[in-house]
Amino acid sequence: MTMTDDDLDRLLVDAGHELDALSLDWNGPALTTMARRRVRRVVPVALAASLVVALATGLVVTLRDDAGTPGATTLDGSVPVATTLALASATTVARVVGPESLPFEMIGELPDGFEPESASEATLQGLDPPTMQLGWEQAPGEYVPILVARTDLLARDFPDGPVDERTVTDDAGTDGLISGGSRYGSTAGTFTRDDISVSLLTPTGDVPDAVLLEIAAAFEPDAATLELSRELPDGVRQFTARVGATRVHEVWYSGPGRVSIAFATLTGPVEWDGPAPGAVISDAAVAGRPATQWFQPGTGAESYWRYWTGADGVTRSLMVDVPNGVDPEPYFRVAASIRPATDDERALFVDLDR
Amino acid sequence: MEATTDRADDATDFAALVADVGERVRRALVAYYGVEIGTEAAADAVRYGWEHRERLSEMGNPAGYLFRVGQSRARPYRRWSQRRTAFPSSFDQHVSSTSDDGAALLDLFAALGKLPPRQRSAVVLVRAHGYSYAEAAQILGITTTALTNHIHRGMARLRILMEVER
Repeated sequence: MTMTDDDLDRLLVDAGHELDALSLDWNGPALTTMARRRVRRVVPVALAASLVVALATGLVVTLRDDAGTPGATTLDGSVPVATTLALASATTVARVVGPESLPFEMIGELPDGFEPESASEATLQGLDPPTMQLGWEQAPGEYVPILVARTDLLARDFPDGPVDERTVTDDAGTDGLISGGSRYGSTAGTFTRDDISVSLLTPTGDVPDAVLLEIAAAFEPDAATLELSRELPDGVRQFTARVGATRVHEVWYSGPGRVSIAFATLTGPVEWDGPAPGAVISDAAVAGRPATQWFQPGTGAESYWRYWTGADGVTRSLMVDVPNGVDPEPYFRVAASIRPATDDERALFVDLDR
Repeated sequence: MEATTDRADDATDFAALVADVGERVRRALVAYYGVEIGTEAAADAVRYGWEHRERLSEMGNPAGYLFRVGQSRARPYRRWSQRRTAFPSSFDQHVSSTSDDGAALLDLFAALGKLPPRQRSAVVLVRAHGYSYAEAAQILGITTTALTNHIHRGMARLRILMEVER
């Protein structure tokens, strides 16, 4: 029997009824259990809830080029700062890109009007051989391939398995995915950083300065000021949260839509101010999983992981980058000291579920 | 007594939220992600809307906002369940395929599953659930022009997949 347009219309209406019925009856045990578990774990603090949401949606990386300038580590290195930040703000991109030493490449130029939200929505495609491709929906249904990454190489370069498999649970018990992050040390600079970015969904796509300051304060309770330090094209703004004269957090805000906020740039001479409350650096944990030197070819930087077990028995990790030959220990100490001050401000550290 | 009244008011308000905004959000998310993940994400979104009801009440497009919240909530579900394309999962266990209509519905769901999520959600909201273009565009947070394009392309693909005679 052939089908006519009228038949299709009627069938679509039936499909609507059927979808309604199925969704209203849906009581899938596995997912529902997760949902109920999550309901019980609602954090009653708006700020913490926002951060939990952010963690649940995946961490975002900020990429920097060899000069330390934010940008993609592409083969030609020609991606503009703002578009790269916009690219990095797409959570799915971050999942694919992972550490910036990964062999991904640009296969096309970012077109004018590139919208990171479009890229993050639905254009990630699993291909065979294992390749992830990011495209941009230039017009409805018209995808422009932009970025490819070999996921098998990604797995090879990431010692603990593919990024996709590194599910993490934050301190509030919400599962999320850590990208591995982008950690970079400049050959010329003396800085090190432990970038952790979050994405934040807001009603208007705009994040008021006060909210940024609140979030910064969650990471650094002593943050004294938050100031707009740079305004970049495409609505990207860099805020700086200053703590005294020595510690600075960068807050990158690229609006509208999903927002990427990168934290915890550590600059200047830093002083060890003791371990975070409840975070006891455990020799046993470090001995069991020794800090791994992870050299990133061409960057002039070395990355170090440090694991420790907190008083709550949870093993956490920190990673710092330093220029080649620089002792990472002081930076570990400072990184360890930057942690939420209260139980409700727990978004900085994630538990490794492995 | 006052507390009891407050709880009753809360229940009424919550029911109103679910009935008004929740249905549209659920339908959009189900169309986008399929029954399982879409329904779970919609439940999360409504819960979020309830927790933030004061802010929600001030919004011009609460359904669109909660749809975005639901999309955010759907991502971890997709990872947890290891599903990349979840539409329309497990419907075939429920839909009878013994009749012609049942078999055709199965074909239609399979065809809808081959559409990009945006096209699928646009087609389902407008052609299956009967929302106006303006309403559907608002729920999905896109312009009416973009929605029109999605529907045009989606229906063209559906006609091919369903072998519609023109």
